[in-house]
Amino acid sequence: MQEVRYMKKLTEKELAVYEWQLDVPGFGVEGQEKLKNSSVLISRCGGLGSVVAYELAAAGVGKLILAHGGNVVPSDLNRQLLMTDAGLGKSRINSVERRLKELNPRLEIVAIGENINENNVAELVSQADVVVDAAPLFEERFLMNREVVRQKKVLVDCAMYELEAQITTIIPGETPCLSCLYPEKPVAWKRKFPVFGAVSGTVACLGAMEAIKVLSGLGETLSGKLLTLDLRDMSFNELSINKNKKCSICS
Amino acid sequence: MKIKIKYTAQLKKAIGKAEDLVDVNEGINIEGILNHLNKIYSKEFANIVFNQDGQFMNAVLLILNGKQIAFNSEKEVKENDVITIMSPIAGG
Ligand SMILES: [Zn+2]
Repeated sequence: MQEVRYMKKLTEKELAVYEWQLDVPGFGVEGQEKLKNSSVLISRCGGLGSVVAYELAAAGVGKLILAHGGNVVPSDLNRQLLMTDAGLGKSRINSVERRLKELNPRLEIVAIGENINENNVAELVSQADVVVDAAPLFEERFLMNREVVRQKKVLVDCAMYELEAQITTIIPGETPCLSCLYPEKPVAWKRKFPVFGAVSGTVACLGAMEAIKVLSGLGETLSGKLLTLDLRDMSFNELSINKNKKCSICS
Repeated sequence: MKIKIKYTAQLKKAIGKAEDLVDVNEGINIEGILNHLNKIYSKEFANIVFNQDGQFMNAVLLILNGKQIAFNSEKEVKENDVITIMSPIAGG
C-alpha cells in the first residue's frame, strides 16, 4: 500500500452501486477509491473465505486473489456459500469465480485451483495489499504468516471451531505475528472440525471489515488484539497479545 | 483462594466444561496453576497442554484477566483473577 501507484477513479456505475456505503463517516469517495485500487488474497474460500470474498466483492475491492483446491462435495454446502448444489463434483474455484462475477462483474479475479503451499505462497502474497487467512490447517497459516512478515503485508487472521471464533490483524513490525502466538505447531488440531456456516460466516464478516478498514484507513483495527467470540453464550472478548522477542519469524 | 479458569475449543471438550473454580494456595504463579490442573484433570487435558516430556506446549495461549501471559511468568495470581486457557484453533 505504501508504493505510489496510479489511482483509478470511480465510474458512474460504481458511484451508484456503492452509494449507501459512501455515506459512512470517515469513508466516502476517497475510501471507495482506495478499495477499488486494492487487492486482497484470500485462502481458502471455504466456510470462512467464501464469505470474506463475497463481502469484499460486494464492497468494491478491485482485485481478489483466491486460492482453493478440490471439487465441491456435499459436506461443503452447509457453509461454503460460494458453492452450489448444482456444482457438486465440479471445481470449487470455478464456482467461487462465477458466483463473485455474478455479484460484481467489475471485479478482477486471480483464481488458483490449489491451496496455499510452499511453491505458490510468495507469488500470491506479492500480488496482494492485504491477506485474509481462512485456511483450515496450521501449515498453510504459518506459510502465509511467514510470507507477510517477509513482504511486510497485513494479515487478517480469522479462525473458528464449533461455536467459537477468533480474529486478529497482524501488521509486521508492529504487532505479534502468528508464530509469536503459536511458536510450535499445535498438535491437537484436526482437519475436520465442528462448524455451522453461521459461525464461520460471522468471523468472515469481521475479517472482511478488518480488510476494508486496513485498506481504506477507516476506524480502528484489531492490531495487537485478539478478539474471541463464543456464539454459544454470545460472549465477545478483546484480549491483548504479546510479541515474542524470540520469534523465529518476526524477530 | 479460589481462581476461575476458563477453557476454549478442544480443551473445553477434553475437560467437559467451559469453566472451573479451583482452590489454590496464595503466592502461586501460572505455572503452578497449570501443574495443579494437570493433577486434577484426566490425561486428555495433559495431552493438549503438555508434551510427552511433561513440558508446556507453547501453542496453548494463556490469558490472565484479558492479557496474554507467559507460562514462565513470575507474576502472582490473585484471588478472583480469571485465567483463560486457549486451545489453538484454525477452522476456516
Ligand atoms: Zn512473530
